[in-house]
Amino acid sequence: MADSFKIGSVLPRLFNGSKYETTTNRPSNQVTTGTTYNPFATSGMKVDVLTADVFDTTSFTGGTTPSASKIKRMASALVGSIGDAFPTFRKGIENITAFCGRVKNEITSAWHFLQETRVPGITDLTNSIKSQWEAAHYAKEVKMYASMPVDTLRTELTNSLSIAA
Amino acid sequence: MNMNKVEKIIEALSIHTDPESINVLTEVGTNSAIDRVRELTSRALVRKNVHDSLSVVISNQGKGINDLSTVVAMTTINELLSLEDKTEAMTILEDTVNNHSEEEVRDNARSVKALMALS
Repeated sequence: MADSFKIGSVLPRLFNGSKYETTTNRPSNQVTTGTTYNPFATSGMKVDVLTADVFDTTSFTGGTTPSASKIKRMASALVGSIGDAFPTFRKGIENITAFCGRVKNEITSAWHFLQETRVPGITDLTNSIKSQWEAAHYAKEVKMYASMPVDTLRTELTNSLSIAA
Repeated sequence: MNMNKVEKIIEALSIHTDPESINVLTEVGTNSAIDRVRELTSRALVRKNVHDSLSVVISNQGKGINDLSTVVAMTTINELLSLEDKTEAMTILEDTVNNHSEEEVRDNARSVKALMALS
């Protein structure tokens, strides 16, 4: 069998099939119903056959049949879109990377800003609060002494000054 | 010495309603050897702004405006100039200028009176 098979005898049929197809007889027992062709009809196989031939362009009711050039353009657009998808995706990744880098830089900058920033007046504010607190405390103690009898204050003052002396 | 406590007691005596507080300030405060205590006491007596307290810092030699310490004298004068009601102080100053026996005290009173008239 291998001896009878020659590539040279097969090639014309592979690449110029229409020439031989015109002389090829179709089995008469194949069933053709409308636009539906069931190749399994003669074999008796019970398979589900599509009721509509999706490849049959005659059933296309959307108007004119798409031309081959249009299909080519559509296919080209599809392939082109697929090809463009990856650069776009890569570009998106680059944008995300740039965004992350920018956020990192901004956070770093903010950190350095906070570290290096000396808010003017914060010391004055702290001192002001401290002095206000001390003033309030001082006034409270003075009020306490003022509520004491004068004799007690005389004793307290004399004792404080005598300790100093 | 707990100077904070002394300051608070003198401050309390300056706002105390008991007239005896003037005597405490005069007897204890103005006779202190510490300039800071005399300064605080003179200021407290001026703030009382009554005849007895002002007489101590205006007419007494060696106290108030007549203190040997320049700081005490200047603080007392500054406090007199800060008074809202200078009527009693001016009366005592005029009386001191006219009637005090010590010339130095009279001169000091005259100078302070002139300053208060200008202020």
